[in-house]
Amino acid sequence: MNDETLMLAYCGGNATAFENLYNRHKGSVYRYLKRQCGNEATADELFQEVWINIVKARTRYKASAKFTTWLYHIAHNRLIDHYRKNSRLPDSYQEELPDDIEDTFSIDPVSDINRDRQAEKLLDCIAQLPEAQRESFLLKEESGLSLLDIAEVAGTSRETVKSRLRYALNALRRCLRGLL
Amino acid sequence: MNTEDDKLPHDEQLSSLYNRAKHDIPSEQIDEAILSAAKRDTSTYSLPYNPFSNNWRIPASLAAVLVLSFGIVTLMENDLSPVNGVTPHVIVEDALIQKPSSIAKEQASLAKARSKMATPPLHKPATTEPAISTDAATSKGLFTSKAKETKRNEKLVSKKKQASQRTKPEMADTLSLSAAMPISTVGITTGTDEQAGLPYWQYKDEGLSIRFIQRLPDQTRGYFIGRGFSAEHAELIAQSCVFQTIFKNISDKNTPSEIIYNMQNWLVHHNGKTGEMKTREKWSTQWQQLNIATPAKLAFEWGLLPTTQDYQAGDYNWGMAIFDLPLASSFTLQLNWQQFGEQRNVTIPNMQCAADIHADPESP
Repeated sequence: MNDETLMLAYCGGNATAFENLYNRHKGSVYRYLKRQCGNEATADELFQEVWINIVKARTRYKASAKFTTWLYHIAHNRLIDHYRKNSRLPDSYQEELPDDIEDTFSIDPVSDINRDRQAEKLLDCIAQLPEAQRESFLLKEESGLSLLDIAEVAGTSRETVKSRLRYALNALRRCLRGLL
Repeated sequence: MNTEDDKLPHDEQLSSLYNRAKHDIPSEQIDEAILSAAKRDTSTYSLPYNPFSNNWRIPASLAAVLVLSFGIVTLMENDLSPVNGVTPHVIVEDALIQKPSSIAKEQASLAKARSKMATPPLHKPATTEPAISTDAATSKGLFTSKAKETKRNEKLVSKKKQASQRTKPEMADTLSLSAAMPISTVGITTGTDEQAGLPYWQYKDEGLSIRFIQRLPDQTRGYFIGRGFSAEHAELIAQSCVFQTIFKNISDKNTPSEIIYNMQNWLVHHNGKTGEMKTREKWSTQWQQLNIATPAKLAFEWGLLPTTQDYQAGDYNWGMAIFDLPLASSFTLQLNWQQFGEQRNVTIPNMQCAADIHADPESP
């Protein structure tokens, strides 16, 4: 059963449908929030607020949009509220990135054990990315959304998402290069 | 149709590495909180759309309503009987069916109660809201030996997981309550308070935010002994179930709405019994009998969240909330307050009192 059908079933009072939906997306949404805010306690709080919003909004839900886009839109909005509450929106969300970036780095092939270490290091590298680039990377890897959907969630153009993503991938390759 | 322009920039190696690092998931406690809120919401409100609806649902619903109405009336009659010598205040849960006249009557009685009580001033919001740690939040401007307590508290906080593990939720309480009372629990979150490092339970809607943060008995002992209580008398408080409470009126500036609450109307459900909060007035009688010195009594009064108070939009306050329950017990709290011209109610299930965890001796 697809997400939209499950959500409609939940709107009709089927709590098991919500449980399926929640189990399907909880890990991805949680990791997106945790890596974006960099703090487990805050991520716990935002994560619950996102799902509580879904529960509250069930009477208004219409299956005209993809459920995942809606879900991540809510998560993105909660993050923006969180940034604003604590200081201000990070500059990287307003930053214009030049288009002429070259993919000059690559990662050396390594053993499985070393790949585990690389994976750990990758999380550190992700944490160092500017917020907007990090968000594009996480939305791509966690949500399975298309370019257009990510642009909609992030409230920006698809060209901006592509630029952010290209910069993020390049920065991550650079960060991992020569690690092992 | 997707074009080349619609393709996401992709790096197979990075994606595969990232997939290897995907371990984080929310805790079971969070899963339970969200799923129970979702479940309760479906059993509470009318359903706008059901893709699986059939004709049999209408007569079945009518029959269910009749059966439930009879059950609820019977249960309410049972709830009216005094528990622990106290007759609980019974509240009509659905704000929509409360008549304006009853709200006005309740407001008048609250106003009367308030006029009899001297309540500390509210804290107006500053441009930057002060950081609230459990101890700082409790001190409210009184002298505090915070530096001495900080290291001790760090050790206490490190034991928080032990405390949570020792306190198992008593699901029977919640289940029997949810069957009896159709109350919304949507808006409740739980987790670990970032600053206190201890478990919290929070309710938030468009007008109110209230957070209960667990408080360890050793923190309570230290706090009250430092403010003139003997060890024996501080123990009376420490053996109760104490939470640090942060109460905020978060109604929008464009549609501000005052909050009025009276803690005496809040209900505590534990082990199948219903009781009330242990307010400062109840403690005051006890302190009178024990001849507690006035400065200690004052410090105690200021440490607790006021029993009744008004909050304008943007107002917030904090203080301890005390429940007359054994340490490490689990309970359900039923809150109510007036805002947006109606009585609002919420039930917070599975709240956990802290266990009596002792800090290890400080390293030399």
